[in-house]
Amino acid sequence: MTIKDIAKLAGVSVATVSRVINDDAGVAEKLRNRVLQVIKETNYIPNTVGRNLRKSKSDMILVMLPTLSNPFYAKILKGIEKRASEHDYGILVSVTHHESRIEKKYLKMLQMKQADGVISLFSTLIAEELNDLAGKYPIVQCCEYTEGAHLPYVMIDNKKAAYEATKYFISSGHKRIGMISGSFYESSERAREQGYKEALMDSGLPFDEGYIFKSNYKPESAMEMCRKLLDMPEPPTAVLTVSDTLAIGAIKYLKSVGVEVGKDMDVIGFDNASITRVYDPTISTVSQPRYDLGTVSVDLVIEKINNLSTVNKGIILPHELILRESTRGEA
Amino acid sequence: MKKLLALVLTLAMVISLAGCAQNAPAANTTDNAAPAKKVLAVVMPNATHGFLGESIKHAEDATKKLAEKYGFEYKFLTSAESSEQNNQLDTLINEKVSCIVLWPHNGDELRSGAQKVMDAKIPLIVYDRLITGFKPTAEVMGDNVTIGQETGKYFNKYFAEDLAKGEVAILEFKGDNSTVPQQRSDGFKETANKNIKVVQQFSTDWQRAKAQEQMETFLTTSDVQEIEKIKAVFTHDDEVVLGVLDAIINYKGPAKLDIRVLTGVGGRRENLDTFKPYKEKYNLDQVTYLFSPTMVRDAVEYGAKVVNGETVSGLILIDTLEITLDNEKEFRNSDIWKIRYESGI
Repeated sequence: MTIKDIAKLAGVSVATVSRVINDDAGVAEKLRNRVLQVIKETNYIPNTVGRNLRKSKSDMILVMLPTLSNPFYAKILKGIEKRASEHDYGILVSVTHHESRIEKKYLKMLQMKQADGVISLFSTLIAEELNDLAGKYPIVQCCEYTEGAHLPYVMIDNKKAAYEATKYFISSGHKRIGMISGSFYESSERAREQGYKEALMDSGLPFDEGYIFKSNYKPESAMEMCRKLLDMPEPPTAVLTVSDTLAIGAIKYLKSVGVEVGKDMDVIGFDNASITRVYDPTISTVSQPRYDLGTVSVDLVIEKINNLSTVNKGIILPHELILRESTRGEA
Repeated sequence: MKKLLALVLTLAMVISLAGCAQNAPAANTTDNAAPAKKVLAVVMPNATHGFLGESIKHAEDATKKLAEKYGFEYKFLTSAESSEQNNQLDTLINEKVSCIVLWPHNGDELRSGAQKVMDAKIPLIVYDRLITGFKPTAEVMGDNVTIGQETGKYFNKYFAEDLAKGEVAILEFKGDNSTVPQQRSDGFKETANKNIKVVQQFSTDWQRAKAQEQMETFLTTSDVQEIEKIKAVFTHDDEVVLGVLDAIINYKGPAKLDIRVLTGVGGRRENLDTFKPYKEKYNLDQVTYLFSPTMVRDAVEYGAKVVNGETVSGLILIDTLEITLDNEKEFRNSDIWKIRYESGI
């Protein structure tokens, strides 16, 4: 069944059927009802791909995730989905696996008009490439901002968050603090390492880069890093990790060698994943407003879809340090 | 001054009354007869000209339009100083307004007033000037750190050859003692090549005449050698640039000036108009970083969102744009330009 068939059955022109489908004014009520009746009887479904191509609008937002294995993204997606549907947009979720080749492949959807805008949770592209794209299409970065990129973004203040977590350790009496960072998410990792460093220095404690270990975000890698931290001549009494998965890995290792977390060693993670509330011990963590990160990204991308030349906004949402059993200890 | 103050106060009252009259509330009342009307309060310093003056016009226009669009009432209040602004906040707390958008005269002096607003559980959106160590519902401001960073990067590129050989001396003309200039200077320090030396800083209070006087004094009291060393001027404001330019152009002293580039913040028409002629006549390059008085419209819009029941939180930074002779024509076609100079506001 095509639009031509509907036109024939209703005894009107193809243009009239098209106007009815697109809810355009200027079709007499009687005619409109006749067309709608035929559509109903024949169960005709308009070809939206064709329609959207002509409209130059897909009403879809492309969401690019670096990986599916991090539970962190689930709630952000929920926020994105909710706000997008409130504005009558659908979302397309893609996974780039940290590969720019895949990222570029998905970004072609903008050119093909299969998506009106993009929310990128992590980009492997350099600032110049992003700026080039952002000049032509609505692109928003969420959580991970590429330094030097001129586009809207929303994230937390990663430096401040790590600063506050480290300061908390120091206020509990810790003098040697380790950090398990990572080597994927350059901007947030660098900011968190900087916050950790500044908290130590502001408190008059020595900063030694040797206390920062770079993981691959797998719990096994955190176990290995934690072993290295304990093997140091002067091992730390507290560890800050840049994700909850890493905190779990660290705690698992500490348990295995008989170090009691929250007593002999304090641990703070990042992201407030739901497991941190029920793990044994429960894990102190920096909570990010994940749902809001999602909704705000949609607001930003829609602002750009409506007017690409609108001035970019950067939004820093509040974070929260949540204290649980893994930081009971006094050093 | 007192007369002016009285006039401004009267104006503020008229505006707020006009707001009430224009948007008669739907006669909704709750069980305990408390009025269910929604009111957005916008609290600004007063000024009739300059960045602040232009901003206030935009804030007022945006407030009126949004109130009309969404059907809430508004109060638009301006004041001459901090104590008056604190009093206005007290009044608004008593009136139980739905949300307050505040542009503080001075962050430190408004801290207790702002705290009272938060304690009264009225959502508070702070614009432009940070209240250090205080967390309102949301903050909206131009991205001052990025402005400083971009200026640093611009100099690094502009003076790449000179920097490879050694130091490049510059002057810095700052704004006032609020958080805004601090953020711009901090951003600049982050990115500027270590060989860029700020040999002297001036606090201009954002005033063109003061900046001109300071530059004239520098040029008349410094050694010839010292003056000839200066290669660039980093300022925090377009009007300040014009003051510095006046001093440079009218300089008749013995030194052979070697200032090649001046930077400003704003993106004002008056400045852009000098880009081409001053390059041709004096071989002076200029760059300005967009910081538009229309930004305050965003702050008001966030206030309107809160009044409409949406949640707004965090720090909202409005990005800048580098404007040079290369793209100034293009910038004159932008929406920001049109709202600022062609909308009649």
